[in-house]
Amino acid sequence: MNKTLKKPWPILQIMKISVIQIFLSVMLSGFTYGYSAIAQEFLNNPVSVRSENTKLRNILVMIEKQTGVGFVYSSKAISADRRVSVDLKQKKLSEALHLILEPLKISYRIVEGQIILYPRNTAEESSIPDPDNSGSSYSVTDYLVTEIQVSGKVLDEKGEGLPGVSVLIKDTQRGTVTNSDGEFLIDVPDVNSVLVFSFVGYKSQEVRIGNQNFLEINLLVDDKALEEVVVVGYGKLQKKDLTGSITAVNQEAVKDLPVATLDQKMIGQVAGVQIQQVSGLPGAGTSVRIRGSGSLGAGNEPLYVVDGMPYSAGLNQNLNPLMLINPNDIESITVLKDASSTAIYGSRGANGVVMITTKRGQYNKTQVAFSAMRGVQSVPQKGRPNLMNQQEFVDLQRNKIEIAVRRAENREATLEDYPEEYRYPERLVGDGTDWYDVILRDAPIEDYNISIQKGGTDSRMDFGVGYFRQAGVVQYTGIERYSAKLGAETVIGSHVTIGANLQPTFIQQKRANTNSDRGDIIGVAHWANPLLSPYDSNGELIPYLVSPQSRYHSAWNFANPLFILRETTQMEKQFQSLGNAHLTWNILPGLEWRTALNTQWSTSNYFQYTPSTVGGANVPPVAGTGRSSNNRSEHFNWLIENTLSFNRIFGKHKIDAVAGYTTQKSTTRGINLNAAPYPNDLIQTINAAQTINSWGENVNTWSMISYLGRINYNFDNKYLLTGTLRSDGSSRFGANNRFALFPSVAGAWRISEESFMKGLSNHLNELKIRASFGVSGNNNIGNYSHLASINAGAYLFGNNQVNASYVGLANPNLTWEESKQVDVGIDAELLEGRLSATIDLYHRESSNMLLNDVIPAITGFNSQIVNKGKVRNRGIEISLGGRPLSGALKWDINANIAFNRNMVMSINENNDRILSGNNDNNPTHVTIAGKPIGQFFGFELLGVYTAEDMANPDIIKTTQVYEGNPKYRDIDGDGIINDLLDYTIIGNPHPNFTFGITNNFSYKGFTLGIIMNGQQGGQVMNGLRQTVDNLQGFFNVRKEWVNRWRSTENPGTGYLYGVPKLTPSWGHRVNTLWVEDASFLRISNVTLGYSLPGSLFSNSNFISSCRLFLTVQNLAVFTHYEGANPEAQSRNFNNTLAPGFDMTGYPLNRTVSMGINLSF
Amino acid sequence: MTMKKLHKLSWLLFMALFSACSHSFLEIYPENTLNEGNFYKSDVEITLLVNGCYVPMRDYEKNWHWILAELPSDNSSFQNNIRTGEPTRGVIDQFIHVSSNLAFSSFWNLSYNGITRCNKVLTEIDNPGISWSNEQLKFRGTGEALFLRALYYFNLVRQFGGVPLVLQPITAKEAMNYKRVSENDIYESVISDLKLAIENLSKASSVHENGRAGEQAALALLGKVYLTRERYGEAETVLSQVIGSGKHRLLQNYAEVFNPASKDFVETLFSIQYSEASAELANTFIFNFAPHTSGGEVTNRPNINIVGAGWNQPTQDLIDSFEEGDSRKDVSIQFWVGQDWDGVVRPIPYCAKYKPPINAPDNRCGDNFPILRYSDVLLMYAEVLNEQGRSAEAVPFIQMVRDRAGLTKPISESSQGALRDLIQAERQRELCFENHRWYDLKRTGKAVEVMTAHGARERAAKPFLYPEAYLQIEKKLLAPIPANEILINQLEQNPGY
Repeated sequence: MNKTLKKPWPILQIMKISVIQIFLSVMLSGFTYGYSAIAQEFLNNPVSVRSENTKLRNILVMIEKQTGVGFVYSSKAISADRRVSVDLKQKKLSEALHLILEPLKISYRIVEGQIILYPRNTAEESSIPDPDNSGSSYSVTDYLVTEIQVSGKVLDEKGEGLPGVSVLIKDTQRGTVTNSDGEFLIDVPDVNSVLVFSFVGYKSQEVRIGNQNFLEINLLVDDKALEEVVVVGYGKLQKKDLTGSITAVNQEAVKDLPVATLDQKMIGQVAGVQIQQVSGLPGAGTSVRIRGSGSLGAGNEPLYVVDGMPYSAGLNQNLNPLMLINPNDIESITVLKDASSTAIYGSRGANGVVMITTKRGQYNKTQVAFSAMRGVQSVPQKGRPNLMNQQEFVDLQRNKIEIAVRRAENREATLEDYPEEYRYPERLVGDGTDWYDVILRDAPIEDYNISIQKGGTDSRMDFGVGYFRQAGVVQYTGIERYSAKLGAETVIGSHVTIGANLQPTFIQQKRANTNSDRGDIIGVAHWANPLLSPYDSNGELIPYLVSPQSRYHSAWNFANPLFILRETTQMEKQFQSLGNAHLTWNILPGLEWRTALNTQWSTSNYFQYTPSTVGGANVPPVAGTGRSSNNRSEHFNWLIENTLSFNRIFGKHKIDAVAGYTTQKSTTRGINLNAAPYPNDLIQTINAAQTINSWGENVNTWSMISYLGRINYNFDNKYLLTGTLRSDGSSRFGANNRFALFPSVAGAWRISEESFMKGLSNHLNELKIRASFGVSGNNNIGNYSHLASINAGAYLFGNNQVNASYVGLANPNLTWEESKQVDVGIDAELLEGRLSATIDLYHRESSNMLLNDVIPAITGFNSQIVNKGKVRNRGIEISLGGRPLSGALKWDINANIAFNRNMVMSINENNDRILSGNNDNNPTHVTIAGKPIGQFFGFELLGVYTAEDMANPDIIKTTQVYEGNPKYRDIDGDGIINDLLDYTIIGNPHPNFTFGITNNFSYKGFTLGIIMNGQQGGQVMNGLRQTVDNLQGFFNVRKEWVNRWRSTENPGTGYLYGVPKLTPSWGHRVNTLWVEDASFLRISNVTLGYSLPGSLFSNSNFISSCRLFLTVQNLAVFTHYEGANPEAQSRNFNNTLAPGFDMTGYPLNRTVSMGINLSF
Repeated sequence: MTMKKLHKLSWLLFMALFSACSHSFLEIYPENTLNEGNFYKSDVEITLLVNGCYVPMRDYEKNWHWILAELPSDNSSFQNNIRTGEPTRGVIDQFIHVSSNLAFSSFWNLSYNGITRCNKVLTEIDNPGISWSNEQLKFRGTGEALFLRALYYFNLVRQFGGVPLVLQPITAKEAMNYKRVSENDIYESVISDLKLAIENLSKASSVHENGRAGEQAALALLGKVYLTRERYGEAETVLSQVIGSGKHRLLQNYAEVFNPASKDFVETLFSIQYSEASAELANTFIFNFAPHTSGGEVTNRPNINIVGAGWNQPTQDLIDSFEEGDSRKDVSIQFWVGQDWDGVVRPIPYCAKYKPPINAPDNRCGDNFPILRYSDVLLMYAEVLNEQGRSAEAVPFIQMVRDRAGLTKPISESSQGALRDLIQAERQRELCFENHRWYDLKRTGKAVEVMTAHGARERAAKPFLYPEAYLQIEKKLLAPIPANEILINQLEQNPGY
């Protein structure tokens, strides 16, 4: 048997074949099951035959020529010389065969791409009369005395015939597959034979023959199918064959989420993937961390691979690069987490890989779908600022003036010292202007998609268009996306497939300044004077508001934030086209060559115009000062991949291997121009500006050559072994390290397949333990960092100015960050899939961190970008799946939880600390060895200096030390409180664990999905506290400050300091007060769906299904954090080293939406 | 090793199929900036690098050298009565500085930055791939780089003693192997660089430009190095070459030397070039040296805030050293009448050699800073003759300098000792605020004696000085190796810090 297999099946010329041989070939079909799908496809190929009174033999040859299919038959059993007349035009092969063979009482089946003819055998009719040559009859029983013939039909859950089902005689290698109608015919040795029916996506079924000779089998859908195919790097694998830690996102659970990008859909779905919505701006990027932060200087975002194209994402808080991919076009998302699965992406795999596959047409299938969604978004009350009302604010202002008068003139303040507006606080009723509310609105969101997927027998195509619009909950912001998708693929001959896809997308985004500093619109909306109104008496917006002033005190004036939003332009437009062309050549069965060309072309255009009517904080507008900023860039990225894949089964050995060679090059070219002033604001194009103040052009190019290989070896479906190797050569690496090698190995043992576990097989369907080790890299080290730049300068000789250059420091050793990861995991499935669990333990050590290291000055330089330092992430991820109810009312629950522990193991030889972030030119974060990355760094607030403190001779008296002023811990014990010297670690932004829970209920046509996610532990620093906890009287502050220290007799809470008596005060330094618990639980989505009963459409040839749904996105957040969003992140911060710093975050919206999905 | 083997293996596997030339494909240089990989092509690029060698010296002369070479001497002090908040300059004047002082690390960093630039030129300039439009440009560039490297090291050794001797571009890793060498080793390197510089520059006379280091500058500097090493015979040889060349002479009028309207005088052998054209090219001396209470009255730029100024203030010792009729006094020192540190109105002296801007809108001054002047050469020559016992021969050269200052009365001193004192006094007056005095005091062995006496007078006059002021002179003759370098590179610190 093995002998036969070693040779590829020859293109047969066998004209004589016995029934025994037929059985031989049937037996072989069990091995070649993987190709039966293709075999089924050619039955749909068209044929045209027209001939009068021609020998059957010749007609079959004609069909062979047209379709490339071979016929196999015994001339003894089938009289091929019978003459037949046929007239067929463009009939399907299956139909043609039926028409030709049916009258001759010949049946056929397909084995290994060939059509085997045999005489139809029924109970009544055991021989076939030959009309032309009577007397020469043939009986099957002559040859098969001991065999019993069994026929039957396999049906799917809808009662329709299921083609391509493998039918195997148990404990043998003999078997067949069902035909296009789900029918099969098989000869079995005896009545005790058991047939095993199996098909992808269905549960296998075993049936004992007994005395039946016709079987009707209903295969049941296997939801938790281990046969589920998962997209991995450079291939697909069955889930049961995985050796690494790979999670596929359940598209069903997230398909109706009213969000703009796929990463937002992944929230809470995958254990160990932390996705933070750092800003609520429509189109804003998220921060995605797979298994923690492993890099100090080269970014921590995962690699996205879209249809094989490594897609540069990275964190862009303004505009998410994934915005250019319509999530409705996505077929599957897989997250590769451990090094054995990411190593195939080599120097880009260290932060994990997100594999995205888009929808494709299918052969022999036509699908037309339409979906529409509309909703409204608003900002929840929870998380809005709670500030002083008018009277409280006036009290603070008067307090400030009283102190100033006392200091300046040594007397108590009188009514005349206060500005008029503040003299009669009792007349001020209510909260005053809620500036935060002024800039917000209820905003619509809508999404429409049409897709057509059509497939014939040898070609398939797909076409889709989509329109998405999300207006921002902050006024005058929003995003629009127009997307399209076109794909086609065709089979040429029988071995070559070529295809192409094009995905053009255009987006346009209107931004506003948020997540930046207290001067941005969200900042102003917090501290703006509540006594002032944004509108004048005519209802017009006032451009610039002047706070009441006194000669002892001046509060901050500000530009009306709503006016800024209305008048300022910040428009980004981007167009991107993803293209792909590919050719696949089936060289031999199991051996396939594939060449693919991927391209990514994009252009972007950013225009910002600030008219002269727009002022700033304390900066009144000045006529003729309009300014503009233009950034235009274009980007082209191409990738050629050549891969050779091989998969074959040799007895109990199964091998699946791939080897490849890829080249890639990316070029980005951008021009920026800043122009000002504009004499008026009537024309905003650059030609109207008086001067161009600054300009520049940037060109960034990188290239890569890679060799890759992977082999999966499976012995007896019990022992799995994977080895991966990738070698990346990159223009980013120094000349001494140009090529990097990333190996990995993984193994798995499917214990449940062992014979000693068989007794448990009713309860334990699957138990697999996995282990992997591998190395991957992070090549985000800058395109030219390893090269010595020639820096320009100037000098002069006499009166001649000359250019004076000097050579920067080259680092030919500069290299990728390297990450080594060990992963051990268990996959288990119990009780017929009603319970499943995946548990992973991992340990990841990242080294060769990109750092700006201090070096000896005798080199001529003081610092250099080097590879130093080590960061460790280790943790546990647990995913549980359950189906508590599976009757008419179904309930599926999926939960995941991930614990990650991050620690910086070393930084450099001196183990220097890295300070990062910025508040008043002081750092907010520190990174030191032995602690997680980016700890909060600041003063520890002990309370306020009390009268007793002042009486204590041991308290050092400096100008900062007076009653009611904040008292910080003197960390270095020198008796003086100093910035930096007395800073200490005051919090940790890393959560103890993150989790997600997804519930899906269904009853008849109704579905209900509930998604929750959250984190426990970890802290967030609210940077705006510098302003809204600042009692200098410039700003409105949080309501809490009503209970501030006022006097010795009225000390308030003892923790909240008083209005400062001296400036600068210490009340606005980074301190423990700003650090809050970031734990939260979010009900991120609730979707109620209803599918109209199919009976409604049974008479319609138009609509085949219709589903309606209602969703609420971001229904509720439970958190102690006082700010708008515990995951918010300031835009201007280096995200890796200064995590968890919320500064004037754009609030997240709650969306209520309705939608409809129609298919035709 | 295994990595390489695997690479080779994969290469073999794929090279047969694909003939992409990976090395050129992976070698990408930035398009919008120059880069070493695509830089060295012709004399144009090399000349750019040579020009770059001057830049660190410009910056340290502007900001730091006067703090290290004039402020510690008896020539200058400061007007402010501040104690705290000024951890850099005042402490150096009073000899209470520590090794973390920014002035030393800045001077050190800029010096080695300059040395590295020179080293880069000297390693690349002989590259056979470079096309030279004129061979003399190559000699000029080589000579300039050698001259500047020698000058950087000469200033370093006079400040810090022996320092790491780096004569080629090095990496951070290699730097760990460079420790301090002896003072003598540094001087030997300086001497050999200068000899080679003279040889090269002598072959580049046709491409000499004003402002560039030329043959005479190299000779004069070598003379100064020999003088510092008390190698009088060799000093005499090279200095006599300068004098004998006839290429330089004294200007008629001392004030002309500091006229901001003109530059690169025949008297100047080498100067650091400044211009009002841009902030990068300009100096800001007057904005540091004017009395800090003078507003815009000295700087002529009332919009420039100079409350932090008042540095390098002429001391009473210096003022008193000028003889009656010495025209150099009024050029070097002027007085502004106004409130002093104690609130009392009095004439406040300030260094007037570096004038306010002529045209620039802000604090950008364009006067060049002299490094080597002909009067310096004459006085050095007189000194080497006197030190070799040929006092009579020395007198005319001193007389030349005095004559120009209007002190035409023939010199009465004739003994070697008396002339020695006269020469030093003449140097103090002639070259004040040109960063010579402190080095002269040290090389003549007079530093402790002179500064102790000066310190006593200062302490008496200025009650706001630190209690330890001027009490640690002997310990602090050598500057401290910057604390950072000690930490990073484990260099040995000078005693006393």
